[in-house]
Amino acid sequence: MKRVFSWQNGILALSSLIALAAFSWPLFAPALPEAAELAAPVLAVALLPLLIVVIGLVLEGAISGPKQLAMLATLAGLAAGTRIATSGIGGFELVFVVVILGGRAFGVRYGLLLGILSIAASSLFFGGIGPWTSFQMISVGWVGALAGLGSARSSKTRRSEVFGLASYALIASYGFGLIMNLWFWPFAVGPQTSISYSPDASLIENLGSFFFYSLATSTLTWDTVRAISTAVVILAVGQPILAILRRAKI
Amino acid sequence: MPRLRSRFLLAFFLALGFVLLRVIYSMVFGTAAYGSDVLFEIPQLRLSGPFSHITLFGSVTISGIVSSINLALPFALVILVFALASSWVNPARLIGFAKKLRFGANLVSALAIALVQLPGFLEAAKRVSFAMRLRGEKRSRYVVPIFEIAIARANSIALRLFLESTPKSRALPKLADFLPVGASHKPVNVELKAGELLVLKGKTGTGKTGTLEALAGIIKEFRGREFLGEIPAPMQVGYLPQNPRDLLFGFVVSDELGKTENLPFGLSRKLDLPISTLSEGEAVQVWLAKILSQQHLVYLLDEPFASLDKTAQAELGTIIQVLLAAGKAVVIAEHQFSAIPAGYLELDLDSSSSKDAKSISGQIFEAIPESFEASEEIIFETKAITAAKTTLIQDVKLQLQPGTATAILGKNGAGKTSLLRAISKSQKPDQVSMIPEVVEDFFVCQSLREELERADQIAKVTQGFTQKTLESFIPECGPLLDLHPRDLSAGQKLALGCAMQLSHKPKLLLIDEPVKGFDSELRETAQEILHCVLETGTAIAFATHDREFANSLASTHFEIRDQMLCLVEVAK
Repeated sequence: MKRVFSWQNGILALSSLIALAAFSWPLFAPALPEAAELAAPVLAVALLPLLIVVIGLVLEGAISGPKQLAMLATLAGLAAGTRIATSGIGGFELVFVVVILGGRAFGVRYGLLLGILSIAASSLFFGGIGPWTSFQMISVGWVGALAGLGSARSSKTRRSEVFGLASYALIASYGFGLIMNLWFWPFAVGPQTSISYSPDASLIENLGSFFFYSLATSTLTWDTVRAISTAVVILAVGQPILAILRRAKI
Repeated sequence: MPRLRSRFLLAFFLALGFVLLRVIYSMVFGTAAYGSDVLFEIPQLRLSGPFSHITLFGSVTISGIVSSINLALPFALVILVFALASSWVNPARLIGFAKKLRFGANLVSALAIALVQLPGFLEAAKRVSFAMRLRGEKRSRYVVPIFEIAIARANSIALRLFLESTPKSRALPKLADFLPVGASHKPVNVELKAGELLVLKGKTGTGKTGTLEALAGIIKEFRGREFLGEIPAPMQVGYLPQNPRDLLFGFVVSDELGKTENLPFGLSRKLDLPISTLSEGEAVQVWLAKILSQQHLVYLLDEPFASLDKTAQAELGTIIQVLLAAGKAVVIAEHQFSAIPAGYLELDLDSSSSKDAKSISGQIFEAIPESFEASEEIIFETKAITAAKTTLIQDVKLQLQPGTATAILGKNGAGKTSLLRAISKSQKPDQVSMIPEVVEDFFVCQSLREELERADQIAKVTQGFTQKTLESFIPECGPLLDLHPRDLSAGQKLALGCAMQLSHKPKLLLIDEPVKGFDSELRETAQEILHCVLETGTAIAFATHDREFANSLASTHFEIRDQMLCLVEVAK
């Protein structure tokens, strides 16, 4: 068993906190002095790739041999493949199946890496890459990492665990949609509409605009499709797949 | 990876989509009142509660639309620029970059490996969905074999990474009283000498692969298997495992072999073939060419001849002689001995304790009710068989008579598998059953017992039916029932695939490479079983390299030559 309080985990937690702050820049940027307020979105977009480098360097110790490396790369390739194969029908619903089950079977750090690499590979493959890619990498990484919380490596797969994971998939899908909207919403709608991000408005008003934007553009549509399809697939095949992953010696 | 043009097109549509979305948002979420050039009016809608500051709709003006397009353009440009920049990144560059890194090299190479696997997974998904359709399995189960494929692939890639990370062999390996824990054969002693060829013989499942892995030093450190005796430390040797396809990285053959001339097996003409669509035999050829170019001291080849056609077998025979003349040591595990150059040493791993497979001809199909009416012939006709946009065979016409077997011969990559797939797609599912080349694609359960029960359910036959059929292939399969289907030996897996499909009581059974990896005894058993199938009036068509087996079973032989399906005289 690795210790919970190690310097690596400390750095990971700190990086995640900073990343979370970068995601939510529209919420507190208005409270900053004027010069910093203008810099906030630029800083957020620039910060994320750096945080990914930091997380990557800290986590490299988690892949200590050819088996871990090959398993990580293969599952990331599989997740990326499902993202491409299923991209016509609502984003990356099946990516979440691979990332959640992989994170569950192999643990928090592994899940974080798997999420990051899956998005990197699929984005590079087709060139759909951009400033948003690092935000997707981190947030899908979180989806994998949280799935790995409290899982014992050698445990047998119980039905209740699969139910738990399916419910988690519902929450994670909506959470992912919300957090991706949060940082991008000011760019997505532009500055002219009545739900635009406004540096002069109050936090409450901006939050109202943000939630309305989320509800209208993704929560009720894409996110729901993703949440339901991920949960359904996990319920259907979660048990055999966790057994397969746990059978694999890495 | 997709070409630059299609990547750029994708980015262009993404950028266009972004601009359009901005315009739609500006209409729905209310444009600020820009100009007076009103295009049309939508009644305004003011929200209440926490959303009271939001107004929806309102007048749509031309200047409003123009202004939102203008504001969106910088972002559209960012999308295009990033797409162009990312096309510089490819797996080869990533691997080169990883080698220069002091930290983070593992992650960058993981990314490269993930990328090269993508087309393979798309191909595997197609293959598995085809296998599930052949088996009549539910849609949601597709995911299970795909994960199994992923794990198997990860293991193969790990093996390659492991071998490449070990030092190149400088001395010839030696085994002293080597015996894996739980093995039934006698302890193995091997001392290789330069210029010597050693052939490992033994029935399916007697530990030939284990002995090769011990010689490469990977049985303990890599596989984690316990053993007695002494084996060498892990070192880089020229190792050909049974399924080398999973070891290959890259999008096309030249990613592995480079743009070189003078490759064996005529591979110089196949450098642009996508790796994900290589046939089993072609994958063996590519991996052999790869390890031959690395100039090893020792070559360990696990069933190298099994999936090669006659020409390639002869060429491999010559290559082995050249290696021996150059003072290399070669070890081969094999069932077919005809193509191995003469003058080899042999080591028989069969122990006296192994049970003899009984001849069981005519036993199983007594259990089948008289549901087999005299079936009529099946005719298959098509203008062309194509794969990956190239025509493989033209003007195909096949008449398959009930109760007869038809063999389809041809070189690796000639289109044998594609022909069988086309036949299976052309008929109704209850008429034809097919066993795919990679029989593992069929397996969706965690033990042989569950797999057999599942097969009974799918085929709607009485419980135990499939197991009885399997028992006629492998007389004592009781101890195997708790094994994972993928842990069975190659021969046992094919036997299971046959048993599963026979439960559907098809009029035509298509088999891709039925006896690959079978020893002579199992081959005879398979032949007897297939004879019984024929007696029930079922037609069989199978693709094979094994002329001897084709002669023993099939009255009609076709060979694919120069894109034509030619009827061949059967040598008696």
